[in-house]
Amino acid sequence: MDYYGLVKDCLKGKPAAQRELYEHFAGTMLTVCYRYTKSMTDAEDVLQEAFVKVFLNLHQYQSKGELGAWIRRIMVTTAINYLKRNERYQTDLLFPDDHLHVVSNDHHPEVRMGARELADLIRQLPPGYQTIFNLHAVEGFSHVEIGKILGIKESTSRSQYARARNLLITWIEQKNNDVKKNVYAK
Amino acid sequence: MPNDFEKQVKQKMEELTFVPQEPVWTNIEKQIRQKKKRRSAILWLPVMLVLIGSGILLHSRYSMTNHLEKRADIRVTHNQNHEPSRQNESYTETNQNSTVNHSNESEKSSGKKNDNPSKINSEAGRTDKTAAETGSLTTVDRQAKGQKHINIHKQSLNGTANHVALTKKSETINLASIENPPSNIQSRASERHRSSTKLFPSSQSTEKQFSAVQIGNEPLMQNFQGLNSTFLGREIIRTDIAGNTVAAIIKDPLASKGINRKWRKGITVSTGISSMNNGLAITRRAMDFNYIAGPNSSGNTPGSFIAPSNIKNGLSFAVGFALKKQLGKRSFFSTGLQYNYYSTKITVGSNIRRDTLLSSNRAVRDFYLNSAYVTNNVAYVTSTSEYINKYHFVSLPAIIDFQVFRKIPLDLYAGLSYQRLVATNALQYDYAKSIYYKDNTVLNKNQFFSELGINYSFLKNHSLIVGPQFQYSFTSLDGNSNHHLGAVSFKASYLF
Repeated sequence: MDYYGLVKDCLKGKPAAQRELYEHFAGTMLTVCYRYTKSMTDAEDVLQEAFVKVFLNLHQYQSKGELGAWIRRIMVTTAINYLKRNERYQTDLLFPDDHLHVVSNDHHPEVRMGARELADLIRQLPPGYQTIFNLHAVEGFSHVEIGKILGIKESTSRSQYARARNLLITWIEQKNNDVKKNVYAK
Repeated sequence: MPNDFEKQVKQKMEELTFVPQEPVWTNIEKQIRQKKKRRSAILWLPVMLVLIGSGILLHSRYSMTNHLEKRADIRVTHNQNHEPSRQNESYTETNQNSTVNHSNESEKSSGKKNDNPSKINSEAGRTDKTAAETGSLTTVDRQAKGQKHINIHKQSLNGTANHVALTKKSETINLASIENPPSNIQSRASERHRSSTKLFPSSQSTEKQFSAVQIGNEPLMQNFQGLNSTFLGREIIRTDIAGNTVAAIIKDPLASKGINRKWRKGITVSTGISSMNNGLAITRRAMDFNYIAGPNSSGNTPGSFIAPSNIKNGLSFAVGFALKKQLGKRSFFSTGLQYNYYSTKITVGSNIRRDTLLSSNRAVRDFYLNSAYVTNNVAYVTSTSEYINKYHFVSLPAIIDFQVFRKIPLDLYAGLSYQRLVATNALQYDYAKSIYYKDNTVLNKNQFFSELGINYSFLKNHSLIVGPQFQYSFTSLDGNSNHHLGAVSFKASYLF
């Protein structure tokens, strides 16, 4: 789809164009927000806040990259900021600098469950693990970049990610084996 | 490179999609509109503020009493050994209500020196000659401990009093708060004065006339200069003594921000080049018809004429009286009264003194030929000369200056000036007759000019201000040909 004309119309303030842009990306972006938060209500709050930023800063999009990627980046940063200032997530977003239990990243179980189920499983991780896992495994940020985004050391990001991965794999395998587990969610 | 597990997770997540609820979009739209309105308001705000605020500020500042200086007279009671009766009197008045720290209360009766010169007792009740010479005085009733009210009232020496309550907060002021009094005060005070500070409750002092008694034989005014003290949180920048009364000049909070509300007067001169433009075009307007006269010797067949001379730039200058006032930390308002001179040059032919009827059926007694005319298909060139169209205006500018940089005295300014044409020798052109004539009735005598420029300040107090200026008249000088005066000049002002 050619977004150039759509962006131009949005910049002119045409409501129809803005609605079209929103409807085109809202579904995917809500998923992004959903993965970072613990509830759909929070996810929609993040989506709303992020789209306002998208429309108010659309003039900064210079058509150099994918529009979707640009919007997605706004979603991610908005989600992280939301987590940081939301009391419910604050205590859980601590990233302790512990380097115990070096975890191997060599294990690759088969993910048999559906997308929604996997997303819910990721959301059950502690928010700190959840955020780092999403940033690295799903968004593709390097640990150096994650360190800059979250204000943590690269080594902390690596160890937290490894823990998150290990935990998730355990759950997936349990799921695969139809073993019930405790859900960590609010 | 993502490994298999991460790849699977990523693929699964990309498959996932949700549909947000409708209120999400409604809220997004609402917020976008609100924020855009706010942004555009913010963009227009400075413009509106400059236009509206300058007018309101001028009016309000001009009609407001100038409160730059507030004199706080700290009434004190004076104990002098040689005036025991008065001493007793004053104590009777004040003792009931004053509970201020009297470090040397016991010293009064024993006649001991007071080591703290900042605590001074002076007698109330007698108007001192010095007080009369100081002009209007403001009395502050300093609050004794436990008292809850402070009144500051300004009293002119003709007996009228204006009461201004500055604060009703509980506050205790003690002369002892004066820091580091000069040593000469200490020595003088110890020699001559009993010192104990008495505060008068407000109810008493508002009823009393201001009075002061000289302490000893020497006013203490000069001794108190330079003291650093505060009153109601404002710095006392100067103290005057009228007899026993210490008048403290409190710094105006606006003045403490570096804003001088006084009008500065000065003179302004400018010199430059003026020109005549057709609307916003720099070149002359193209003629509607432009061909040379036919074979008729008069050359005046209907619709035939010779183009008038090009209008060349001429000298401009202005001189006048300027007024400038600071509106804010970096903004100023300037006005004044000026004489403006503009001129343009044209080339004309011979001057003919002869009664002639113009194409408008108006008669003129003398006129100038065009520099060239054609008759019988032959072009003739008359003796030509340069004619200077001179325009004399009296102008009233209204300009807003804005200092661009905080530390560099470089201002940008913009404004309007009303200019009234008071005299001119400008020639008008009769296209039908191809002659120049004088007729000031066709001129628009009321002109509005835009004034734009930058200036740089020199010298102490930024007294000398220089810079380029651009002027352009919005109004056409004559209704017939849409001519607009404009000028580029170098302007210099000196403010006293």
